[in-house]
Amino acid sequence: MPLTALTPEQRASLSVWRSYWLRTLARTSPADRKNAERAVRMVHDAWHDPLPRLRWVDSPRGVDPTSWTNIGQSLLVRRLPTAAQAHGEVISGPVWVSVQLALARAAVGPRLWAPGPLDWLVPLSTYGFFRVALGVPYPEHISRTLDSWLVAVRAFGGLWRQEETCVLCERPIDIHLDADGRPHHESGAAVRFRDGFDMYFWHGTRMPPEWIATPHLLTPDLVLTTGNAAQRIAGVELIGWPRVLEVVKAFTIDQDADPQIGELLEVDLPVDGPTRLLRVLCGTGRVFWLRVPRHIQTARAANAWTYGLRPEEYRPEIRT
Amino acid sequence: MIEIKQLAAQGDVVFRRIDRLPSNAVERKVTGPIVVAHSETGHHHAIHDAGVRLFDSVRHDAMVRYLSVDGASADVVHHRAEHTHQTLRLLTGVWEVRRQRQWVPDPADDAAWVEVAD
Repeated sequence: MPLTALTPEQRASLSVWRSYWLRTLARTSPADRKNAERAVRMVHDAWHDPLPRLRWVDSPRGVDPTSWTNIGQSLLVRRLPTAAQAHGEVISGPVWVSVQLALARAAVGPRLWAPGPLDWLVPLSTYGFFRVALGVPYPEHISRTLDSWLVAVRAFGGLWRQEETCVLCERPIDIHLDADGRPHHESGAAVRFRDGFDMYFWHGTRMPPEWIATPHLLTPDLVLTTGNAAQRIAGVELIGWPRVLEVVKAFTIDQDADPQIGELLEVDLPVDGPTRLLRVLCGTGRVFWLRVPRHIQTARAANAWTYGLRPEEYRPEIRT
Repeated sequence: MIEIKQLAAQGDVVFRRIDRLPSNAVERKVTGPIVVAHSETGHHHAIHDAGVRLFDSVRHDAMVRYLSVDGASADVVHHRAEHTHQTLRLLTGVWEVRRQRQWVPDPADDAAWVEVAD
């Protein structure tokens, strides 16, 4: 009989597992090379894939983003999710999906510095929750492979494939994460490696080092025209909308008499095009700028949308 | 401290009184204070009073949760030394808790959004 529901106690242990997973993936001690290599060999054997040559590196320095293929494309992404759920015989679909959703961000976050898609970490973390935290019995032929993979992911920092070589990466020596477990540092490198290589991140988005290190030199024009959409969003967060509006003209769409409902503006951004913004005063006296969808017509509707409510439902007695 | 009747915002969280819990809301057992909304910067919105139960939404939607205030009242305290949001007092009953989001430009998804980090 598959597991079809979680008890409140089991659900509570989800946050314990999440914290454990974050800590484990963010370790900064040297890799456990013996266990990592053993597990990689075992996974290849179990799934009858030819074992590639293994090579250790201290960091992803110099990895050409176009040259690697994610090792998981052939092995993990395809096989791990169904194996981990054991085709629904061990864990029912809805329970699996709910746990996977709850773990999705944290499962990947601390490894966002590693090259390649990291999707396979989500089913692996989900499997670990059921197998380790809840002690769900899995068929031996599945647990043998996946247990060693759980050991491996804790033993190395990153893993990717370059041509016929499987590259195993040491763990960073220093890593800063936000509350969601993503690399993040407001004024310096978020991830540093043994060979001196470092990487800058803003809530999981890789950033040009100078954007973080010398934000006062960062211009709105540069942020708004950079080719990477995630960097454009993060860059605006870094410099703030008031500086952006020094170079981009804003039009008022609607202004409420109550400053805590605020003003709906539209700006025409160079790459992103027309963008609607809510400018609203918070109870602590600070001004907040929030992007809202383009169909929004009033400041009240904009506020309501940000909380998932209908405009007529958003009548706050107070905003503290 | 401000006592609220129907709906109020405390920074990036809204509290709305509702008639009853959705039938399949799932209780989240909590020991110690109830963290109503985790803040990315560690400035949580939390309840320290006894007699309050926390529930997850049916679809495990992290943006919506529920509180059942079984005692006379529950104070939601914002833990931050500066720019502290004033404490809100929720009276007996069932409350819906909604996190704030903002839209993000995504060519592949016109309805994309991310949680607001206050």
